[in-house]
Amino acid sequence: MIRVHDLTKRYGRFTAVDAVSFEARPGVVTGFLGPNGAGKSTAMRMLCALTPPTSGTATILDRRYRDLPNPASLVGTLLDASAQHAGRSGREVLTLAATAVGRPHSRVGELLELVGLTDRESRRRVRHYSLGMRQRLGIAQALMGDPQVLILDEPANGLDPQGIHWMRELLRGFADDGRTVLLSSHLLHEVEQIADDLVLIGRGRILAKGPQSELLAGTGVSVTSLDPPRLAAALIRAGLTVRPPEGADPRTLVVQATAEQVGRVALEAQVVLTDLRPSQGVGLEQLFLELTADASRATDRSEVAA
Amino acid sequence: MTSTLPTHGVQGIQGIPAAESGDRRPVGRPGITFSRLLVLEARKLVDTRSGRWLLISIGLITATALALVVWFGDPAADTWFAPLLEVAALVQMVLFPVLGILAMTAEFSQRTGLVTFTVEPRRMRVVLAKLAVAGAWAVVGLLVAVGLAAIAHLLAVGIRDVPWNWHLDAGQLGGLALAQVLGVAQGLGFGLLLTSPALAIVSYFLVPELWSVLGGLIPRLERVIPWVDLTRPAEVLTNGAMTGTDWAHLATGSGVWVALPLLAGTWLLVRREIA
Repeated sequence: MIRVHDLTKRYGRFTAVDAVSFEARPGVVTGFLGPNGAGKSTAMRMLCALTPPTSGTATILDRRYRDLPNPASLVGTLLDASAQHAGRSGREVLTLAATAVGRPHSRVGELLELVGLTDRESRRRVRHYSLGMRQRLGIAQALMGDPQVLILDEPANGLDPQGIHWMRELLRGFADDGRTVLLSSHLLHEVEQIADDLVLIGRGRILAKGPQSELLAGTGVSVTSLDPPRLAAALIRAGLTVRPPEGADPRTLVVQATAEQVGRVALEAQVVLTDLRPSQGVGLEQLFLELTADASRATDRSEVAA
Repeated sequence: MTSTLPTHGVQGIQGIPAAESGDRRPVGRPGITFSRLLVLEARKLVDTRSGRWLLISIGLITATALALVVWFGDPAADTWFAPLLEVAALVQMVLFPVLGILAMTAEFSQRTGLVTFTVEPRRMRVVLAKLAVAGAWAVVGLLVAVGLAAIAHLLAVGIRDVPWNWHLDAGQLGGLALAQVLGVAQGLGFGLLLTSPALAIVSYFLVPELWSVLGGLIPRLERVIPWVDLTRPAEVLTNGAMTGTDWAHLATGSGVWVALPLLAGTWLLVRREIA
């Protein structure tokens, strides 16, 4: 369980993280999503007592990070896969991690196997690792203490498709086991596939949060009918936003409205509907782009609203 | 809110047995034990290529210096045990502070601090552990120096017909150890304060020198300099001829060049952002 309340970080006049509040629940993968520079990493470092917050609180397992006993055994962190001593071998990095959390060195071999680093690779110095190998090493390091909570900053960066699939399975299993996962990403497709809950952040502020299914439901419905032009005209007359379908069936429209609103308009216009459902095609990417575009053009938006 | 999910702890992830699962309320005191920090920091000094080579170089350079003295030194005085040990220790006193500097700056330049300070968020304890470990290494270095000096003296006796002379003043040995420890502590302090390895190493070697030069140029500083200089009292310390004034100079000099950087650096460290 991670609880963040009103967390703020200012650097001079620049506000990197602006009154952020959210929770990451056990048993759930929470995706922390936002464009580069949105404040994800700063927020994560504040969670782990690496960056002192300007104001606000963050607790993990009901305690501040700095008050946790043997914190690395409770909270596995991977905040930057590149942040390893270039002259240390991967195996040695894990041996240090095992010592730090008080685990036998035999666990090093288990974790190397788990993250798919060979014995030979593990003896090479980190200087010669690709980013993908560093990510695997970092994940092994985070898992060393068999933690209750995982905090991973951009863990999918540099992983190949198989690697990403592997990580997805790993985190899924971790969450299914009743533990908490918070991962950040700007790779929307990855988060869409793995996260149950989403926290969207842009310019330091939370733009949206909640279960992925709910967030996606808010983006509209797709409606298929026997007379799309007439339905579209009726929907527009009713003041609703209608988008043409993206590539798929030309008889399907995407409408910024609830299923009920669309159903009523169709009833009035006497158009036969053959399908009405939450829009699949819009997806998180659209939501993400819309929300972050709003964040970067907040003034434009208020003008439009006025 | 606590977990509403069943806690089935046996399975764990991907075949790795999990101790328990679901949220438990953590019990115990914050952080990790100091003894574990000592083990970690001791290991970190020697488990990188740069760390290993620095130690090997210190050994090799010490041995080379001794070999030169045995070969070219004055057989009547230079090649007795005590003077040989002094040579070995002086060489080490130049190099060991670099070990202290790198031990500290790697946390920033190699960014290992991101892990170090999540493992132990009480950053001051990390500094204390590094001080203890680097100090211990300095003493180990001195013991190696004693061994090498002994071998050198045996060689001198064998090759150059030097008389046996194993006399060593206990006070001098203590002085050498103290000077060595002060040196690594100063290195750690500079590393902590400046965080960049290059900047810290250059400053460590240059700033005290420049300070002495400045003292020579400005007559008014002449009376102040001895009290804020560590180079000279450390030299006297190594040849074991400390007077009361020398001890006083050593105390104030260490305050300025060792304690001050350490305290200021620690003050900065506990407040700074680790990124």
